[in-house]
Amino acid sequence: MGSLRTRGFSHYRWQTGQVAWLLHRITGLALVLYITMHIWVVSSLQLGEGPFEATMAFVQSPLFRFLEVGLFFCVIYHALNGLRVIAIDFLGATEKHVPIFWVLVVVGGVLWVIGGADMITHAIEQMNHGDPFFPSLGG
Amino acid sequence: MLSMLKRSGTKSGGSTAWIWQRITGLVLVVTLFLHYLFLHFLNGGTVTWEEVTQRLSSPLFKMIDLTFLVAALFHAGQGLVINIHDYVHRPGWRVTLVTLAWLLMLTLLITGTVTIVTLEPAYIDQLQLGAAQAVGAGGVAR
Ligand code: HEM
Repeated sequence: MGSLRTRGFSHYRWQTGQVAWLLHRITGLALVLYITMHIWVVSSLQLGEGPFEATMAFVQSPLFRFLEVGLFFCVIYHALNGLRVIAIDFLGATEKHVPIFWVLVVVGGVLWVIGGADMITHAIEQMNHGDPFFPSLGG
Repeated sequence: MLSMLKRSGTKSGGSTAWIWQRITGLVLVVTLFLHYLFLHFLNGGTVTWEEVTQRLSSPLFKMIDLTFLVAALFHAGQGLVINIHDYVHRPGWRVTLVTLAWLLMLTLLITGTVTIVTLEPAYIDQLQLGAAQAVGAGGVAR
């Protein structure tokens, strides 16, 4: 990181953009991995009601609801930062890209807490009804 | 075919990918929002067979889901290609991985399209009726 100063860039500006870009790449790749599994899981719809409900009982168990909070983070981050990148490219928002980033962190944070709380509430309700945290197929 | 894949690493191929990554990104903001709204927040948080088949019996929802599918897979495929071009420099490996990435997207596109298009309650009733008749006939086909 010491080399940043020697490049003559404003230290903090460069850093925010760099971290934002790396996170965009990581969340994007995570979403590709997810969508691959998701389309495969949902294709069990073709097998009819029984097999579909069995699959969904597995992927809507408390464990997966907690994992979903992480997925929701990736979605919100990638979507909002993607909009920020588009705004920089098309709306000339380059000058303000750092403040925009922090505004979006707050907006995204609020959305994540609201949605995430909903998902965790579901998981807790299920466990109060006696559902195990770890799902078992065919159970 | 191979030369086409190699050319996707050139400047012109790159800027086409660049603009499409932004267009599909904007489409995804809308479709992904609707997806979360209907499948997580408006249905009490639990997806059921009943609810999905109901919704997908509407041509409008089929269209929305197909748009979502195509935009997401195109965006995902291009995202993978961007990464392959950034980290893989040996031409042979590049072409191989880019081909595999698009083959994966094509497979997912076919799987997803079949799921969305064939999910017709009437069609499923027919299938189940057919199965019931087969059982009723004592397992003798036809
Ligand atoms: C929610 C709406 C979305 C928006 C607004 C969006 C926006 C963008 C933009 C603008 C880029 C290009 C970034 C750049 O050129 O620096 C990008 C890259 C990418 N996106 Fe998305 N995206 C969205 C959803 C998705 C989804 C659902 C996936 C996965 C299936 C995904 C996977 C990727 C990948 C893998 C990249 C390549 C990132 C890189 O390594 O540079 N995106 N996205």
